[in-house]
Amino acid sequence: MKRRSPAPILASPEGKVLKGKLWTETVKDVSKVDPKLANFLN
Amino acid sequence: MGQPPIPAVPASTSLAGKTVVVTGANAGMGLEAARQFLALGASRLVLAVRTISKGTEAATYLSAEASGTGNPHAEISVMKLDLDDYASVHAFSEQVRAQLDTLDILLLNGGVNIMSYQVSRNNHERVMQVNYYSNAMLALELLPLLKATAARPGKPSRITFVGSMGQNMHTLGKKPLANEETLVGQFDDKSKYVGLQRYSDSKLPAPAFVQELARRLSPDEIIVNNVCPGLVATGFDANLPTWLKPIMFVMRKFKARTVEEGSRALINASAVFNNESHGQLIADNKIVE
Repeated sequence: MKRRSPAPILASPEGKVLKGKLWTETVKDVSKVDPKLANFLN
Repeated sequence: MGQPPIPAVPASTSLAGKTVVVTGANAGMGLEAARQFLALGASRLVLAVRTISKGTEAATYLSAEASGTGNPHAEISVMKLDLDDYASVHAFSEQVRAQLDTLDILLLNGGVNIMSYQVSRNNHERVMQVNYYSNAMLALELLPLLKATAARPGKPSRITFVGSMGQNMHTLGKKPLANEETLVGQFDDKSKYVGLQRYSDSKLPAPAFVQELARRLSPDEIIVNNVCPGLVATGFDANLPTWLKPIMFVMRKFKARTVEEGSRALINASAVFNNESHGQLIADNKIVE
């Protein structure tokens, strides 16, 4: 049985943009401490 | 209306020969998940904890439990991990890479719920730091080891990020992001902070991160998923304001799953669900579409 969307905001038209922003910002932030993690921006 | 029961882990499930890392492992669901991993035969378990003495106490308890469940030779080690600090995450990752040859399951369980605005060692709002940014960093730092483990014959490695369906009570609906603003900046902004919703804000990134990470990984190599254990009777409310504690006490007493059952949801997500859960959120033991 399938349930409701896990997070409607992520499934919304703006959701893809939000997910992309979150990923990029997260990787940029953590790579200040470990520069190797910046590879995940690609 | 109660929460549906979490089914038992299939009897055929075996973690013999597997290495598991659990964050937030000295109490609550992290501790119970560690116990259940050992009961399934996990050969090596790393307890990632903020306070070593509490981790050592947990390890002593788990060692006795493991002996009682037919896994007396399991290696249980304690390593310091303070999710409030990226430097601690990095140091922990280096220690893991130095001491472990393999890593089969990474359970990102560590988290907090506090309702006053506090700042982490990295100058972020603390709940966001602990519940999301540091857990995300840990997943990325340990990817190479997880991948190398999966390259050996056998099943894919696993990353399970403990989340919450409470994520949908986040603040972004009523406080949408301005055009030039960053999400990190928004969540650091004290003027936009809402104590009662910050936990939800901190859990919303988990499915987003898991979806994005899953796009970059083959489930034949690493299965990454997100799990909501539901309301569980833990001591998670210790840092809540005084007025809220009795309310949560009553809710957990009458509506919550036991710690054993809540942790079983984590075990099912990280050791039983397979490719179908890659990039997905699991709640009430079902994939949420």
